[in-house]
Amino acid sequence: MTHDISLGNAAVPPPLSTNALVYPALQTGGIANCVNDNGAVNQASNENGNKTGNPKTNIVLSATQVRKSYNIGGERRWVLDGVDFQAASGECVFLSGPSGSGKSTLLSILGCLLEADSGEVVIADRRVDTLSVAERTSVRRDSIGFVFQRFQLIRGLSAEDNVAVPLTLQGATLADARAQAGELLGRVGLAMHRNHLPTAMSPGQCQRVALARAVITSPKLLLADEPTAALDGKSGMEVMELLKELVGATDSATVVVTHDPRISKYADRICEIENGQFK
Amino acid sequence: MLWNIALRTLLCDRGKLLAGLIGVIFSVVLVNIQGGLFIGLINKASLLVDRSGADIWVGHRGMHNVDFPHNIPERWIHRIRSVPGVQSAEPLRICFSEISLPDGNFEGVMLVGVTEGSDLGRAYDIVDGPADALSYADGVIVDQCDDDKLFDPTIGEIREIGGRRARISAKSYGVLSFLVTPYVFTHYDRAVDFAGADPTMASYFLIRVKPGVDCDQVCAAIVNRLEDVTAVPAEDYAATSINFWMTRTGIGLSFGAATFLGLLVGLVMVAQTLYAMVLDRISEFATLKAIGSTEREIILLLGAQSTVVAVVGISIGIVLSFVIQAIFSTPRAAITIPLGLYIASAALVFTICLAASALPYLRVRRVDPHSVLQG
Repeated sequence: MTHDISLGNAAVPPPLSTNALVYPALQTGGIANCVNDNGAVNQASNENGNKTGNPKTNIVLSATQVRKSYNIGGERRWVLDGVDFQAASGECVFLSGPSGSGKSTLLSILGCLLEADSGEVVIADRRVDTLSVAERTSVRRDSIGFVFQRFQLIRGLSAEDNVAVPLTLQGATLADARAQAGELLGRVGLAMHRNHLPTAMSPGQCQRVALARAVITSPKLLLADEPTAALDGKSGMEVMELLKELVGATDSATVVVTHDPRISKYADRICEIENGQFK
Repeated sequence: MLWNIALRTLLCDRGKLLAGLIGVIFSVVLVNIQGGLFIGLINKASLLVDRSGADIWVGHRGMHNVDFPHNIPERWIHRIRSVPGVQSAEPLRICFSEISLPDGNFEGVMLVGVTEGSDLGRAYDIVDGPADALSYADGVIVDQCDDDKLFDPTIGEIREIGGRRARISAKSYGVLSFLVTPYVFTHYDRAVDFAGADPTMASYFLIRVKPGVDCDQVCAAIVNRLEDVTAVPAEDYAATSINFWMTRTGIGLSFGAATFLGLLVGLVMVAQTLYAMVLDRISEFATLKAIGSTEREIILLLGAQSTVVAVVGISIGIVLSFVIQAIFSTPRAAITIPLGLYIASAALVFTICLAASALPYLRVRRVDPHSVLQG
């Protein structure tokens, strides 16, 4: 099983591709809707009202009227209340909002980690909200890449083995998976660190390993939860540039939950969520 | 890859790995040494039978322990010798007496009287003294391992047994009774004399059958001819003698209970170690689940870790058991570990280790992959 991810070969995070140049910084206030009337994703725009990217119509992720509630202190509280959301291939959508607004819950539902109370979720033309636990696991394995706030690397495994894990879960041999992981680590500037344990790497390096792990299977959907929250400003920017480039290479639809205003320029769209609804 | 993850995460936390290994090693060594001590001890109950060189033992009807015979007429030996298939038959005398000690005290002994001109019943190997030690006047053979009890008798030393003069003419090594009384080997007639017993009675008849003859058939023929006796193959009587102590003293239960407790401690240590390892890495399991590991793969991962801990621990435990046996096993506290015990202990502990992985699995099973997004 081979997954080609074409990136610029660089020992350090490569410069932004031309894609980055057509996604200038956005102001969250400039975006209100995450789905337009006919179901296509809205074009993003900056505060000057300029169009900021090519419209993407190849919808990878679609969520319709998603609702989710928790029972808190005996009271039913709606965390998501009829959310519609779409993301297209190659598109990078930011989810922002205050703590408790429901963005992580939405990310979990989109990532098949959590079941919605109602609503419909479709990933790569497959309705996933009605699947069994085992089937959802299969969807996560085959179609979704995850980047976590705290990297969530396996401490005992080297960077190369950490990146190789998703491939082996898909059935690749360890040797093949390691070969591909090593190559990908080289492309994200960690060729010299392929045998290092996570404890021997900086947070920025760990997050780049986590990024490589997320994209090594060329997932149709990439979900990132606060990917820069544990990083300093410079590392955060490097990680986002890398994420942007990897997404460009794999053409994944990307959803990023973030509070970090410094990285808003990397978004094609920013969807603000508050009290379980998009603003 | 599962093996890779299992191994590397185990090695990553060497402290906990060591604790788990110690639990397994402890269990294996405990089972082997306890079992070896038990087998070594219980084998003494049938030592006279095992080393007698006889194919069949004949004693009073209902005989149940080689050390506690009920007398039978010695003249019956002639009727036994005429049974088809019997090559040779000799009487054996086993009786209690007392031997004098240099300090004027006495020590109880178990006399074993064997007939001249036959090797039947001679359960000893002489390690000090002449090979024909029993041919010496008043000659008796004592065991070196009983030197403390008998106040270090020397070859040629004169003692009294049952008020009669006895000469220590040789010493054996490692012929110890299940009881505390030392065995003293002597001639059949001399044993009767020392014990002041009825010379017309014997304790047992030891029989060697002709080559190719079925022992069971000879036993049946003997019992058919002499209704008041029991005739059984030697290995059966050895088992009967062992069973006597097993069932009447509860020794099997006490050893078994100690071994079980050892296993339990090992199980708890292994389970607790694996559980602690899992607790430490609960977010990693959540991550694995999030990125697509199935329940089956998680089970295999934990099973692989248990297997590694079990195999390494069992291997070290077996080597350690062997070393302990080699260093500490003595005739008095014999540690006899047959191959079957090694295999059984390994299989038992391995099974327990796999069972122990159930505890951490129950914890991992409850892990919600969603939790990785909750910090």
